[in-house]
Amino acid sequence: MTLLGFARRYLVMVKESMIFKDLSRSTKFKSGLLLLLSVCIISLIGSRLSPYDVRQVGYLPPDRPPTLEHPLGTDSFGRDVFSELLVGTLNSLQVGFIVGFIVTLVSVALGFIAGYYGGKRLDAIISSITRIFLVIPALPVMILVSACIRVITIHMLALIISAFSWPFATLVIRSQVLSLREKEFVNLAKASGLNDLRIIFEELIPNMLPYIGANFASLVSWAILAEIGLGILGLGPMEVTLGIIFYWSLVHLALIRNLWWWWFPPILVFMLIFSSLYLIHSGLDEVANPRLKRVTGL
Amino acid sequence: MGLKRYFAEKICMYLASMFTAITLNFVIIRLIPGNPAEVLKELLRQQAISVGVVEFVEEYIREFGLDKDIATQFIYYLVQLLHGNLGVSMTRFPVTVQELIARHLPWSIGLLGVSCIISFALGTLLGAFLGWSRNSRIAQGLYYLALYLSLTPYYLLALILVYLFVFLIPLFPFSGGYSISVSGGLNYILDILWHSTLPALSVVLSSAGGWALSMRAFMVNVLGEDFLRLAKAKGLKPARIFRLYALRNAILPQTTGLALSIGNIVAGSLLVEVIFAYPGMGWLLFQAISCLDYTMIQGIFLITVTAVLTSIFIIELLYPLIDPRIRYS
Repeated sequence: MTLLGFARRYLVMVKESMIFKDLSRSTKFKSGLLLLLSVCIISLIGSRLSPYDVRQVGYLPPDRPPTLEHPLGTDSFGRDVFSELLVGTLNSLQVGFIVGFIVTLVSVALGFIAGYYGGKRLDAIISSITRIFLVIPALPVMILVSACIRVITIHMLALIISAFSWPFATLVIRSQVLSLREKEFVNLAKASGLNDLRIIFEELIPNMLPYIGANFASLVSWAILAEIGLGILGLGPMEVTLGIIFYWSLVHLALIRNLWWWWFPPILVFMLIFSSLYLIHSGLDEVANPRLKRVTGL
Repeated sequence: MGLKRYFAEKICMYLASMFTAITLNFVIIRLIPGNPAEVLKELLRQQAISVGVVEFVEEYIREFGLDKDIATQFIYYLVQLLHGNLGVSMTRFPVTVQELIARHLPWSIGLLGVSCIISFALGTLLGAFLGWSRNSRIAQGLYYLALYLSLTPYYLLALILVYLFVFLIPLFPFSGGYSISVSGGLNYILDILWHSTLPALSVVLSSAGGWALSMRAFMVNVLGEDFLRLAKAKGLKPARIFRLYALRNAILPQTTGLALSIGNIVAGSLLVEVIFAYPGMGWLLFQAISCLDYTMIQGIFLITVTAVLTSIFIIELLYPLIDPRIRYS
């Protein structure tokens, strides 16, 4: 079987499963996805169309309140805050998604090796290493790394955040694999002679997609949070991100100089991204675990 | 047998995590481009120091064994740590890192300890109420409030609080931990409380929301248990069921959550201190980062991580006392 053929068959199989039907009925998931997609598209198109270069200092008069021409005014460097916000949102989202993809791949791989494929001894090794790293608080380690490397790009920042975000995700996936492997359909697949790899890719992963997706959503929001945290400390990348906007507005005392158009809009954008990811997360959670909705009563 | 094994496992995990953290601290600092002697010389040059540089750097290299191979360096480093020596601050020498940390740590512990306890208590009580009367309108409204508060990170909440209570309604000071003009006695304590209100409030508001949500979830789970139905069927008073049956069982997993979230609280509040220029560890870290004081950054990292790991460890050791089931499993 060719790789492409496998991929096509795989997609059809996943599409036919119950997950998609449940998801298309979940209002939470749909509204969250819509919100997130619109933020992504607006920031992507907006930052391309914007006539102001956010890398150029003194382009416009500084500290101007919002006008029709500059809907969010200008900052102390004489930059258009609206364009800055568009670029910053795009870059922060980029950090979030890169971390989400990397850590999801790593945690799924490690989770399956530990929980299913690797056997008892490998599981013991992987899960104890994971537990050791789990308790070490990630933000201080990331602060140390970024302070030592100093000049970083967005991709390096994403790699640094990924390097210290995998333990929790890995443990979550592993425990899911452990509970799923005891289910009847896995025994059936084994009895019908499927090998381990096919059981993983054709039985286990399609059933775990909502969990993996929920995990992905929370990883993206965690990464954006970490990016902002590092940014506020002045450890962000050498490009405009949401964290960097906070940093410069704090350094220039935007709070007490009442330059609200500089520091408040990024908070709104952040809350928008965060809420959308939360909606996606809990929508997926409910699909994965239908009891949840009944228990929480909401 | 169960308990002994539990303790042995926890002690091993604690030691392994501490060792990993120390190793990370040792390895990461070597990511700095260029060799440490050059970095140190550059820092001295920035401070207009040109006499005695060579001797100073030599002394520094000897103290940390930087001229030896990497394994020896690591052993040197461990020995220094065991003596409680975190090195000399690169930008404020001859003041040692441990002296500076000792000066700033009480501020952080005071701010964090108090706001952590307040938010845990408030959030747990609120969550218990939300779970107990989860079908009432008020509880559902409060649920969404708690959800939003817990989604807002400390530092962004802090920005909004500063704008509201420093700029719009000037009730609290913008920054710092105390006023220079006030000294001694009750006034000094009141002054510190006055300065700490906003930073503490931002931590309390944001983390109490999270506590409320988790407590509500545990409460709802307990309410579905059979022993609760039995208690109701026996005709016990609701207040008694709430206190002795529901609350006591729901609070167990909540304490485990406390252990796991200490790390987040410590790390998150580093940023709150930066926003309020509060003279704790976060502010010290911010200054160390802006003038590239690497020994200082390393020291703060080590203290923060040690504090987090040790408090998790203590809570795990105490856990069998809170939850008797561990003793028999």
